[in-house]
Amino acid sequence: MATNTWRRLMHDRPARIAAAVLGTAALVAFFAPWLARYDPTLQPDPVTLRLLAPSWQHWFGTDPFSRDVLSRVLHGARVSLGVAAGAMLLAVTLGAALGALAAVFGGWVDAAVGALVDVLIAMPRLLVVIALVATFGALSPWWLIALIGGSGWLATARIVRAEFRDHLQRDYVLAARALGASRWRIVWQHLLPAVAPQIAVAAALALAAVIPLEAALSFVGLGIQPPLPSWGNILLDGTDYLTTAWWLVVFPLGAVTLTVGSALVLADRLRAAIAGEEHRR
Amino acid sequence: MSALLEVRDLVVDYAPHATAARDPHRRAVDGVSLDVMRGETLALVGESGSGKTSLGRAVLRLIEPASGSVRFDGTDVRALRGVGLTRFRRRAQVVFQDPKASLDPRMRVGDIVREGIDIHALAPRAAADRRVVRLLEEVGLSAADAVRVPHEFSGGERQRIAIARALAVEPEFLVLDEAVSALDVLVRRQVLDLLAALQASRGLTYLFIAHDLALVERIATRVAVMQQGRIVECAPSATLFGAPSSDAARALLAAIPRFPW
Repeated sequence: MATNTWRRLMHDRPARIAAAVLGTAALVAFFAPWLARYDPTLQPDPVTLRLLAPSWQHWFGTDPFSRDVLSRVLHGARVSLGVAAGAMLLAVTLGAALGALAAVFGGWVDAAVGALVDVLIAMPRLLVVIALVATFGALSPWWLIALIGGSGWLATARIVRAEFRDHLQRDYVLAARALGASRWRIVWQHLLPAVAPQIAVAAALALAAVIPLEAALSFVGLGIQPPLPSWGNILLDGTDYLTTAWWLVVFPLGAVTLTVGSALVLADRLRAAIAGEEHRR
Repeated sequence: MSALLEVRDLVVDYAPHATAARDPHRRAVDGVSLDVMRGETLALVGESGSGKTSLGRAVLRLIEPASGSVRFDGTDVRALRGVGLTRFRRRAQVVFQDPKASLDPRMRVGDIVREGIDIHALAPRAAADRRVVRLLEEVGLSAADAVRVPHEFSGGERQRIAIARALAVEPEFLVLDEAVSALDVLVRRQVLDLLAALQASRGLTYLFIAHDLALVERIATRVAVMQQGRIVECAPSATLFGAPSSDAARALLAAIPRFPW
């Protein structure tokens, strides 16, 4: 079934466009140093070159410090998407592992994972970050990944637990147990392939949640610290000039919107593909 | 003939951890004792909800009974752990009702049949491949089917795959849990013939679970009739079909359509 779900997805136009956007964003992030024409932190002339409107020299204009906005958005993709991808991978891995453990072992393991979920839901993420910044000073990108990923696995865990519990009841798993398959074997051979499309949905949704979170944290000055550019702190630099220099806000905001929107479309089309596949069988 | 499987006073609750465990209405199996003799086919017949599937799963240790004992070839199945349980799994296998649900749709048929061989490390790679082919041919499929996936097959063919998977570990005992009930009439007959042939060639013992007496008439050595978690009658096939002693058996017999020829 899973292989057919992927095939279905590949023939879905919105999904392909969304995947292309995300793929392009990933390539841009990776090759930013080669794509950007200017040093994103260089301030060539803060007096005459500040706040230039988009032109052939500066496609996305310049910012109040005379830096090239396009170069900053490209390098910002590196930081923003790097943090987002890292946090997403951490969240999905943690969520899948904990959800699977809860479903397969049940009993007190299930109860412990459930309690952990409750605690994390009750904990206000932003306040925790503020407290950490207040205590330790600015957070490095690695800390941001750990923090965002370490608190973002709840949805994935819930999905994986529910799907695993459903599949554990099915006859094919019962047949594997009757054959003498170990829990590990059942998880790796049968359950993970079965639930992979749902995990992919959770991953796309996690990505869509994590990109704005990083941007928001950087925007309020708690995330990526200047001069290192991220989409969030580029926006921060632009807020004072919202009415006079639209390019400072539109381009980083557009980058966030485009990537988040693509992740959401991908999640949605993947869900439709799963439903279509289940309907057909 | 000696008993391969001896079940004594077996009780199975629907929800093992429910507080209502002592409530008799929550009992799927309520104090069942029965023997399955080596080489025979014991048919376990009853209306749906009578507890026959729970009984079949409990003797295979797929669900844990609340009380009672299950002995397989003299060993206490309920006490098995680790290696002992693994060894038991090789000897006792199961075929479920709906092969659509019982075959992993993501696996190739060859890998499905092969799973038991891998789990019990019964053969190295090339030998396992040959064994899979032999098994497929034994159930009436072909070597080329190994690379296909379950949904390319009809219901009857899928059930043959499920049978091949069970046979791969060379069991002595098979629980056939409504194994032909979902098949249409002609296919059902073919699969029943296959099961009879396999029983003869491999010396298998069957616990044949069905809700319809008509299904078991040809294949059963003895018939046990189950009702509300209890066995209300257990008799040789000829006796039961000729002179049933319980109301439940008479009701099941009356439900068989008889055509005036």
